[in-house]
Amino acid sequence: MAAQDGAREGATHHLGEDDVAYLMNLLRNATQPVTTQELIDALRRQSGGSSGEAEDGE
Amino acid sequence: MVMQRERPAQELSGTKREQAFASSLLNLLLARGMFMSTSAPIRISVASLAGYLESQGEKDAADRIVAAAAANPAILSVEQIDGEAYLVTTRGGRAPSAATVDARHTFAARFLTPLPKPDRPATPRARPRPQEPVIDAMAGMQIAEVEAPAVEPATITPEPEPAEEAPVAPARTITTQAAAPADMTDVDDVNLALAIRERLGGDPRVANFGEHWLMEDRVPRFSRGDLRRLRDYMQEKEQPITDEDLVQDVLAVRPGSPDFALVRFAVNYRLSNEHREFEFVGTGNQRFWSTSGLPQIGTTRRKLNEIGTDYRFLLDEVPAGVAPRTRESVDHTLTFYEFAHGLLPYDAEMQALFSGPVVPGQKSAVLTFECPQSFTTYLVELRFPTPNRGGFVLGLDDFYAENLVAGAVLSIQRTENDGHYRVEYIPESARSEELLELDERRAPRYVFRPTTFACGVEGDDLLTEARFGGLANEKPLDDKARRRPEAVVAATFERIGEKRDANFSAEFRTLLAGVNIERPMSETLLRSLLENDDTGAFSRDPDAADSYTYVPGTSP
Repeated sequence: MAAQDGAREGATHHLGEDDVAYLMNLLRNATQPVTTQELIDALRRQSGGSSGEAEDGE
Repeated sequence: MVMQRERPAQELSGTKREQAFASSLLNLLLARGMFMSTSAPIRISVASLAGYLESQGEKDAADRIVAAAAANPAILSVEQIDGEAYLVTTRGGRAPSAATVDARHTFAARFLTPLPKPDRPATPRARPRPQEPVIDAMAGMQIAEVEAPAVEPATITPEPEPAEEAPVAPARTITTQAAAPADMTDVDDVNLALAIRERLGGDPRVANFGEHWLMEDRVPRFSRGDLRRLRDYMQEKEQPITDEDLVQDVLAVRPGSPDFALVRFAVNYRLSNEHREFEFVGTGNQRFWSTSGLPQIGTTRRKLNEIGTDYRFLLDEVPAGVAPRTRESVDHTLTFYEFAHGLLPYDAEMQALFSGPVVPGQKSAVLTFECPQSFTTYLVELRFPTPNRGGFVLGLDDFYAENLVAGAVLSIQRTENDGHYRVEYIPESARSEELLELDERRAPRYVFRPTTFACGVEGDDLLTEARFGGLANEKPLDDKARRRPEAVVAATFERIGEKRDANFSAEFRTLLAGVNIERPMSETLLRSLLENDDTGAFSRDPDAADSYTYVPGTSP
């Protein structure tokens, strides 16, 4: 994604504190640069895993 | 160096005869252990010594040896080994002290008697999990005090009270709000990327360049010497250099090495913070870096600011929100202005073809254009639009001059690499025409010269003498007139229009090609000028299809 796009339009979705903490933790454990797509995939996995656990708990 | 071996001076006890006997014993022992270490025990069996001494005339030697050892315990001692007596001393002239051997732990025993294998639990040990994010557990909690039930008046017979009763604290219950993870199934990748950029982009602990992220403290740092070498390399090569080449050629990190990606990221991130010395001029896949003092890519006949001002009309024409790299290819017909300066307009079609800026505030991007027909790759520069100047591509002068003419049709196709494009023209059999040129040898003038070309052209846009003969020996318009599109259109009517009484008439396509000799003008802009002219200078020609007339003397 180009910088232009980011400047043109704002994010319609905002990350929660736990999402940011999760990403920061991910970056702390990384020894090589991580791409935005990898961060997105990680967020989705975390979201899917957490919601799955929540459903199991119910 | 030769050193004389000195015999240690020893005080032997006993009579002179006993001392002489003990001395001869000591000499025999020292002769045996001449090359032994100072503290190593020198042993000779008593029987052997006695035999020798008796052969030398001594009598009762065995008993006298034992007696001499007993008389000089500090110097001589007798050891029993396997039932045989040995007289012992050391080269230092001292009876060897019994060295205690520490046999608690020996290297041999360590291998011969290994420790038993540690018992492992039946269940495999859990892998160390990454540290869970610290979350403020108290956030969002509701603490409610539960009131103790009202105590009814005591109607029970009083019992003997205990000596001391602890005060009962009111019971408290904590209701935690379930931390529901944000549901991201409905959010697309583009919005998630924007959200990540919004939150992490401003965090000083996180290093970001383009689409790559890493903790700032993990990014290798460069010394001033490293930065100077990077700059010198670019200046030596006289062109922008990609991050890959900088990492390999200057920092000597090979592409196969495990640190290559990290150092490459470090080059991009660290140089992006050196605004004074380095400028990013690349794309996402092809990250070029530039520095001061490099020669300009493309034409020097016209300043970049002036070209940008010429393309200013694109700012109004290009709709907002054109998504980069949504088109596979773009076909374009070259105008004279573009041909002469080696340019392409950064219009809506090109914006949909090329990638946009990678970093905020990026002014330009260096691209590579590969022409498979001429087996040549050209380094071109895409100048992004600014608030008051249009965008354009420059650096195609050589490609145009070697292969094309004004009016030629070319096709630009994107590749997997967003910084690399394939440019092709329509190959045709060679033909020769009298085509327009700008003769700049003395005072610049338009001339027609025979030109041979072998590329496909748009017939209406080919500037032949037959159709544009009125331009012969004309001087280019001065800058003051060029800046006003209406003045350029009026001058073009007068140069190439068909004169009818006091008016000039021209077909739209011909007029468009003629106007683009002096300055870039889109079809939209020209149509708008001709249709929306309030002065009455321009009007539609009712006698010809898609033609317009111009009335001289009416200031447009």
